[in-house]
Amino acid sequence: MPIVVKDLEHTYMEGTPFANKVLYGVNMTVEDGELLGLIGPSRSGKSTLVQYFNGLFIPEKGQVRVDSLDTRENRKNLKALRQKVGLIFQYPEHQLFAETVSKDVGFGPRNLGLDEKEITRRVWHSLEAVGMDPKIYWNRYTFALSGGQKRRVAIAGVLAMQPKVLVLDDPTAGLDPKGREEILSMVKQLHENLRVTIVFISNNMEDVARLAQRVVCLAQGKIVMSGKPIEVFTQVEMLKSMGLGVLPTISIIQKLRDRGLNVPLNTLTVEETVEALIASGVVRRRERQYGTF
Amino acid sequence: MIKLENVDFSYQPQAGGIVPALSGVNLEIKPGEFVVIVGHNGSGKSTLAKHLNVLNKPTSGEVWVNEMNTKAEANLWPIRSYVGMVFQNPDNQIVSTVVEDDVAFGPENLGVDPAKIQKYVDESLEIMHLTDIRDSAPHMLSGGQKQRVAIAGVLAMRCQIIVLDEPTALLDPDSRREVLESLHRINREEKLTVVLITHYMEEAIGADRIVVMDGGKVVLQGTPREVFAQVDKIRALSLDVPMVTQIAADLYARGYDVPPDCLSEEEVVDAICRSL
Ligand SMILES: Nc1ncnc2c1ncn2[C@@H]1O[C@H](COP(=O)(O)OP(=O)(O)OP(=O)(O)O)[C@@H](O)[C@H]1O
Ligand SMILES: Nc1ncnc2c1ncn2[C@@H]1O[C@H](COP(=O)(O)OP(=O)(O)OP(=O)(O)O)[C@@H](O)[C@H]1O
Ligand SMILES: [Mg+2]
Ligand SMILES: [Mg+2]
Repeated sequence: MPIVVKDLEHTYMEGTPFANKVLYGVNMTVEDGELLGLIGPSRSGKSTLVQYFNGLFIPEKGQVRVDSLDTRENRKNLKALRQKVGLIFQYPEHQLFAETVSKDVGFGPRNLGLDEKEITRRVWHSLEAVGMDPKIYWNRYTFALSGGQKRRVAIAGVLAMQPKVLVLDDPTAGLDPKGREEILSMVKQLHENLRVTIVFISNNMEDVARLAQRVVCLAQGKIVMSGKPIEVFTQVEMLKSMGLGVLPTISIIQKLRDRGLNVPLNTLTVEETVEALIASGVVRRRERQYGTF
Repeated sequence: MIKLENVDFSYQPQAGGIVPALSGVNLEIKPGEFVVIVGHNGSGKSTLAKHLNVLNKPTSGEVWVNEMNTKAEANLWPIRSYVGMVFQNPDNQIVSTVVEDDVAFGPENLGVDPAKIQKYVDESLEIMHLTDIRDSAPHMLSGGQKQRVAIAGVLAMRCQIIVLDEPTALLDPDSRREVLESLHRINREEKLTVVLITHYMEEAIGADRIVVMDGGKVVLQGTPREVFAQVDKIRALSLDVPMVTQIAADLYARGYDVPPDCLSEEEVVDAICRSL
């Protein structure tokens, strides 16, 4: 299900003294089946943009086509659209409203009119997918969860709807490193095994570097960069000027190059970078031992 | 000075049985210290933080803040004016439509002499580099600015200890740096004690001490170098070491001449250049 955005503009509180123009003509495509990372400084409009993907916002200026259907011309089908495009909001813990974990995750499927057996099956699998053991948490009150646990349950609730496109707005914020890892590998699996199209917004550049096939960067209401992760994350000056920082892996290689060492600047993850350092012969095998190690 | 002695704590959701959240926690935090608490989701960090300003009281054991026991009803307000809290979501903490009023809210609420409030507010805005935007509407600010406003509010209450529960979780990289730098500044220059909870291991690098929690217990503590040198142990606790340390530790493990406990990019770069 491709999503095509053309000349999209958005203004909050249009026509009031508080009018706040946020999107200034966005053009982008989410290709069918891709895993797209969406980055951009705080308040650049990322969360605003993705609410057009599932019809929460309908364009006043510009056009959004989901699966070649113009969302403005298909207002009557928005319910079906929202089922196909699952949006996991930023701070999804605020979306929890049912009393217990299993009721909360089962809320969507129950609304679809599925039978209880199917609902139970979906809730069980969704909880497992987010690393919340159903045997422990099935009847747990949703308010009696830690911050990170609430986030996982909220994500499970959207997974239980089995969407074709999954939009995750900063899903790893507030998760511990292992939880982040679990969410990242869950997203990867959904993408590979179930062929779900994924849009992944994150303020954590490490996560985007690890996960995305393509990265799109939004700044000041426009798309300013788009390309393979390595292409985007090596735009060091551009990233700095936008306040997005530079990955330590890129930064270390850059510093070595500045000191005249010949290391290629084409690795993002720790593993790749370690391999590149070894392969380019800039690190020596050790002879002496360090302290207690 | 904060002291936790054998603290146990359980939540009792109605009819839902008992959820143990802390067990046998012993911890001392010295005046002027910069302590970072890390641990997996549900390990008890927030529960512990809430014991420091009497949002929670121990089920058993004692918590002392500046020699005041949190169990004594009479100590509630003295402790709350000594220990300030900042939470994760900046939007939930903002109460006024103007930055300056927001910063004044805390001391007003504590009943500070109105003549002094203005002075405290002015100083706090200055320390947090917010003087320029004192008349702005908080909802127009970036997440990093909002968190600095929240911190200024704590400073204006003249708290000596500031406890921050994942203040950077929802911020972009620059805002995170901005908040962290201001915390180090108030720790250094204003001598405030800082207790910071975070899932970003990078944010623990500059701390005096890291406290690691697991299953409601303190399982490991030490300087950042001591803690992050234990890569395997850290990973077993569902955590990780900073990316820079990972690179150094991986190179070391493969037999290369780089110290495994590097904490900064410069250290790694220097070590590589030195090895040649
Ligand atoms: N409901 C709203 N009413 C008015 N203004 C809003 C609303 N939601 C967002 N804005 C404003 O729109 C701009 C873009 O916000 P948006 O949340 O889309 O950015 P973002 O890129 O998702 O930022 P972040 O990384 O902080 O989540 C900001 O200036 C924000 O204050
Ligand atoms: N209000 C509550 N009622 C019942 N149990 C709770 C409540 N709040 C937290 N818990 C439980 O207490 C334990 C500790 O939770 P706490 O919020 O202290 O963890 P945390 O380390 O702050 O986690 P996170 O990193 O996710 O914020 C968890 O098992 C959690 O499920
Ligand atoms: Mg957002
Ligand atoms: Mg917490």
